[in-house]
Formats: sequence, structure tokens, C-alpha cells
Amino acid sequence: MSDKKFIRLFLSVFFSAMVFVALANYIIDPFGFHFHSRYTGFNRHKPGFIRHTRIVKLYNADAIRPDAIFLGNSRILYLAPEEAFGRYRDHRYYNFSLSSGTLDEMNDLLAYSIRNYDIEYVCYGIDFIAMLSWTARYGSTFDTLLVDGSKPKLAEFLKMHTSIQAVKESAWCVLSNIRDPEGKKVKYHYNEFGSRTNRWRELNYARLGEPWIDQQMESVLETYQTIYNDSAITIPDYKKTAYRSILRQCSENDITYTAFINPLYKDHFAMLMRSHAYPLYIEFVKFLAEESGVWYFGGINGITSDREYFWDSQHPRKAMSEIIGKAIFSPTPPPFTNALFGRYYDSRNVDTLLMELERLKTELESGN
Amino acid sequence: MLFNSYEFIFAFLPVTFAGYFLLRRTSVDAISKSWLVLASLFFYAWWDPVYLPVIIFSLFFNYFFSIPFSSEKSIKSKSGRLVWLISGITVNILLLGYFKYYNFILWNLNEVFGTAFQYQNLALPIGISFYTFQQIAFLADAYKGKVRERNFLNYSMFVTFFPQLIAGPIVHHAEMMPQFADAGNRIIKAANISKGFYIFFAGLFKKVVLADSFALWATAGFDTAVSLNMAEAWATSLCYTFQLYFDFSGYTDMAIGLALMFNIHLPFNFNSPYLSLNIQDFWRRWHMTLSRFLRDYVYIPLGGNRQGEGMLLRNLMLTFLIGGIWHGAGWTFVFWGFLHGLATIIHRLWGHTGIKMNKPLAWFITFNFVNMAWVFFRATSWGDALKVLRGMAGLSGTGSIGSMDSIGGTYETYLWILAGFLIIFFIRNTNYVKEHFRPGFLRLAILIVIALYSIMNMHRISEFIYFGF
Repeated sequence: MSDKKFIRLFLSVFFSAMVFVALANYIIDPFGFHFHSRYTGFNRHKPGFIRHTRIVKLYNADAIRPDAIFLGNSRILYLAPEEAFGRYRDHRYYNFSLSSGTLDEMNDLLAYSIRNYDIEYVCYGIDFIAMLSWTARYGSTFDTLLVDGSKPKLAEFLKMHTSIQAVKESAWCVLSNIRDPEGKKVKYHYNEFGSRTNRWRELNYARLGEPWIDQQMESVLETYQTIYNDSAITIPDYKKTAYRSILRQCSENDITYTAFINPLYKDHFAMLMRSHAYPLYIEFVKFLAEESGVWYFGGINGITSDREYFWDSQHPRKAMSEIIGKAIFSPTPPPFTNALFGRYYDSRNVDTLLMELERLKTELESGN
Repeated sequence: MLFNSYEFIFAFLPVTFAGYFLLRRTSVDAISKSWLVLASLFFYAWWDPVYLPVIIFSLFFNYFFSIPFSSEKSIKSKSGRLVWLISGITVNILLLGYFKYYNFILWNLNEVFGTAFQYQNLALPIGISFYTFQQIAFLADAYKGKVRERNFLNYSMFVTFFPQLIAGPIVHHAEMMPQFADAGNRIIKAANISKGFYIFFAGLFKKVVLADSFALWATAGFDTAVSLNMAEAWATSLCYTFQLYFDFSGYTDMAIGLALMFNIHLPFNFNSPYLSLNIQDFWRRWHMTLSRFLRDYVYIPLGGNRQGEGMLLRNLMLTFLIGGIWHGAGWTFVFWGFLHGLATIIHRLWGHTGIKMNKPLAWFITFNFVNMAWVFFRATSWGDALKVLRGMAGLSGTGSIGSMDSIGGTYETYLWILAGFLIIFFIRNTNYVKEHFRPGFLRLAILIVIALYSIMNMHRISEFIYFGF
């Protein structure tokens, strides 16, 4: 074979394949970009979410062009807050939370949103773990497209990859016969707003005869026990800087900002209070209250002791978002609020919160 | 701009290539050369234009500093020439040192003397270590009268030629400029294009598919895991060993393939280094152009082997310490250089005994030493390095074969490591392919598969490890 023929054959096959994938992308429409395949049960096979949400969400958001956004990590992803946070019901809202989402990523996402949409409201569900040195600067350095808050122009090619993944995932779902509660074969499903809502994982464990919730609780508690007692963990300055940058961006663009600290399951909260990391937790709470003001959801009470509100010891379920939504946005405080659950704190009253936390810690230590 | 990015493959490369060869048809060479220099600077500035003034300063400085070595009015006295050379090298080292080692030096002063010098928010200009070394070599060669460059455009093209600008191979003026000057290289050569495609996509496959896959477990083990059991620690270190090799040799392959498309032959940088039977052999096969630089511009000027055995051993150690600190501003890099220096000295002393080691044992010792030393190279702190080494020694529990939760590993991890070994043992390296490439249907099928698979897996935007050095 001559070199010229070799080159011609290679380029023609290579570019034909590209065109084929582009067409497949359009037909399969893995993330609903074109809204032309919205039949029940069709187009619900999605690529694995941890890696791909970092690509997908930008395109989803472009389709919605939100004026209100949620920021956070997997806790907010699992909470699916769009149905509960009534204040935003009249707005085009989008859940930008990412599994393992970090402050730097959220800062970049906010910059991207401000640059591309007319953002009026930002709600950030922030977690202690996101502030610790234990978590990386970028939750997924390999995948994020948002360095400096911009999306490479040629990132459009990435959609091609998602088509390939969608085809693979579809095949996998069919072969493994995974179904969601509606009986549709599915692996992952995002709703229109980019939150995970299905209980496929729990059902899959049930199918295998394994107590899913116990397993999740146990393994997450064990993991966090190690993290909280690592003597090397700190709250790095760059994380505080990223948080301040989020506030600055909101302030400069007249955006109404709301922050809340996610609740933890009671065993998890008690473990945190007894750990080496507890002084850092106090620093974290105080920092948020003083910098921006924050809605606090924590402590040990009837809600945080009820497993029905949690996927595992640190990921609340959707039902919890209804409680959080009411506490933050209802004009009158709901009856379930107490000093450690559903109250707003800022620099004026943060000492009350710290005293309540100290009281609870003393109670825990005395075994009550 | 990254070689493993869509904007590079589908926009920058075709436009630069087409522009260069179209302009080569004109009778004025300066036009095509200017195009290539501007394209290369655009390629460099894509990541962050703030780095551009640094490389432009470096270009101007070294070119004009080399003139007294090569002009008719050159410095005549030997001592004057030497002082001029040392001054030029010093400025280069200071430039590199400011960006790369300034905060490291302050940190050491603060630690030792309890001072409180403020650290500066300095970003390391990408590729500065490479283009600085390349230009130091040029100054030294000009001093010795080996090269003579009186055209700034030629000089700029020699330094900025985009395939080798960011992370090497570190090239000599004498091996590049005759190729650019060769009239036979003015036309598109199908043989070089087909070979260039093949080598470029082989490199892309190494980077995108192999290195980035190993990176998941290596990163988790080094950066995220609190402690590692024996299985996890070995998986972590081996994954990094393979990640580094496939990442850097992948980059080099892509550079060689790209340069070939422009009818330029870059020197080889790797020659199956993980098959080495001793540490000296390893350094003849790993990052060969850096080894060449260190030999010619550090080891030999220090005295090499000309001043007796004791001085030779000292020179070896100094060369490796400099090689270590070149890779990064940190004591772990220095220690990595020290370990390699020590191993080279031991290897030399062993050679005096005349005892021959059998080949499998020699390979086993060499590979494991290199693998263990990479732990210090990769770790960002002593604590991380010791965490991995403790795990490898079984001091943090042995774990079980299938238990690699801390690094997110599964049986798939073992398969990847096995694949890594199979590739280094049984797949011909790119140097062989470059020398023996013949277009055919098998080669075409392989090229199509690796090109498409790599392109479809380029969703992970990841830098090359050596960009940071």
C-alpha cells in the first residue's frame, strides 16, 4: 500500500466515523439537548453521573438558561431541591450541584452562570467536608471544564463521547435488566433539572437481598471516622478564598445569596462531635455565619434520627429538602425548628449556635 | 494548548500544517518560518498568555547573548568568553530559579532561621525548564564554536517549534536547523505524514487511554487515601510508574509524530526504559535527551571521569542531584535524585567486582528500585511518600487481594497493571515503529482503532505530568 493511499483511507474512515457519531448523538440525544425524543421510557439511559455531570450540566443549563441556581455537592444532588424550594418556583432554576463538588468548582460554575445567564438567586448547600483539606481542590480535576469559569468552544465534541457512552450504558442496562420503580430499564436517570431521583440503587441491593441502608450507613460512618480523626486535616485558606469569591461575585452582580449547612444523620453528627475535626467544624460554622450568614441544619433531633430522611449517614433524601425548603423560605417558622435545626445565624447571633453546640457536646460526653 | 485536546487536533494542527506548506511554496523562506514561529507562540499562549513575555524575553536574551560568540567582532580572549558564557547561563538559571525555586528557597529560610518571608504568588511558566535548558545548551555550544546562528527568526524557530516546546525532547541547534534549511523538506512528504499520524495517535492512545486510566488509582492512592494496605500501596506505586511512563513517552511520541509531519526528525527520548537491567541502562533509555544534556553540560564540565574514581563518584552524585531539583522545587525531588545517584554509584562499584548478575534478577532489582524511587518523585510531601512506602512494606496491614477500597480499585486495577507489564514486555516501542514503519492494512486498522478510541476518550482534560517540570 502506498503512503498516499494509507493517508486517504485513514482520513476517510476517521472522519466518516466522526460524522456517524455526531448523527448518533443527535438521534440518541443522551442529555435531551434537542428535545426530540421525549417518549415515555425512551432516552432514559444515561452515562455514569460522577464523571459526566461535569460536562452534562453545562449543556442542560444552557437549554434552561436559569435565573436561580443551586450549588453544592452530592448532598444537594441527592436532595433534588427544585420541588421543595418554593421561593424559586416562579423562576427558571437549575441544580448545579456536583458529586464531590468543591468550593473552587462552585466558584467557577457561578462565574460561568453569571457570564452566560441573568442570575438573580443563588442557594448554596454547603458541607463541612467540602471545606476540609481532605477534599481536593477540584472534585474531578480530570473532568472539569470550568477552569476560570469558561467552557472551551470546541467542547461540543464532547457530546460525541456521551453518545458512545449512552450506547454502552443502554446495552449494559438491557443485559443486567436493571429497572427503576416505574419498571423502566435504567442505570442512571437525571430529571429535567439534573438531580438524581431514582431509587434504582436501593432496589438493586434489595434484589440482591442485601440491607442497603445498613451497608451504606456503616461504610460511610467508617470512612468518615478515619477522615475526622486524621491529625493532618485543616481548613485551607484557598477554600475560604473560594467561598469569599462566591460572595463577592454575588454582591457585584446583585444576586440574592442563601447558604445552608446540610444535616447529618445523628450517628454521624455525634461521631463528628467526638472527633479530632470538631474544632474545625466550629471554625467552619463560625466562618460561614460571619462571612455570609447561614441556615443551620444539624444537631440530634427527631428528624436527624430518622433514617427515612437519609440515603446514608450524610446524604439526605428528597423528603429532607421539603423540610429545609420550608424552614428557609416559609414566612413563618415551622414548628420543628430549634436552635440546632432550621435557624438562621450570622455574626450577630452565631455565639448562640456555638453555645448550643457546646451544650450538646457536653451532653454527649456525659452519655446523656 | 494540549496535544490531547480537540482544539489542537481539529483546528490548530490542520491550519498550522496547511499554512506552513502553502507558504513554503513562496520563494521567501522567512514567511513560512514566521508563520511557524507565530503559530508556535499562539500554541504556547493558548493556555495562559501571561507566560508569553517570559519566553519572548528568554528568546531575545539568549539570541543576543550568543552573538559575541559567533560574530566577526567576537570576544577574543578565552577568559572573556568564559565570563560571558557564565553570565548568560547565570541569567537563565536566575530566570528559572525565580519562577521555579523562589518560594522553595524562602520556605527553607523560614524553616531553618525562623524568618517570616512572604511567599509570592508565582505561576510557573509552562515549559520553562525545557526551553531554558535548550538555550543553555545553545549558549554552551556557541561558546565552543559548535554552532553559529545569526538569524533571529531561525533561532526563534529552533526554540519555539511547537512539537517540542513545552516538554521536549530537549534538542540541539545542530540537529534541528539543518533539517529546516534542507530544500528537500519544503514539500509535503506522504511517507512522513503516514508515519507521523501513526506515531502521533500511538502517543495519544498512551496518554488518553493508558496514562489517564492508571492516573485514577495513582492519584487516589497518593492524594486522597489516608492509609494504604499492602495491596493498595503496591497498586498505587505501580499505577504511577506506568502512568508516568505512558504519559511522558506518549507526549514524546506525539511530539515526534507531529514534527515528522513537518519533515523534522526529533531525537528519541525513550527506549523501553522499564526493560533496563541496571540503573545506568535505565538512564540511557529514560528521558534520553535530558540525560544527554546532564552528561554534556553538567557531568563532563564537572570533570566527568577525568579526575579519578572519587571525583567521578562525586560528579555522578552532583549530576543526579541537579537532575532531581530540575524536576521540581521540593526536597522529595532532591531525594529522588539522590537515590538515583546512589544507585548509579553502587552500580559502578559493583561493576568493579566483576560479578555478573543473571538477567531476570537484574531486571527485578532495577524495576523495583525505579518503582520505589518514583514514590518520592510523585509524593507532594514526605508524609505521602512514607504512607505509600509503609503500605508497600506491609506496615499498614496486608489487606486482601480484592480489597483496594482506599484507591477505588477493583480486580480491573490488577488487569490494567498486568496490561502495563505486557505492553512494556511485548509491544515494540515507537522508536522501532519509526524505523520500520511500512503502510499496510494491519497498520491502517490499528491506526483507525487507536485514533477513534482515543478521540472518544478525550473527555478527560488532563495535562501531561512533565508540563509541571
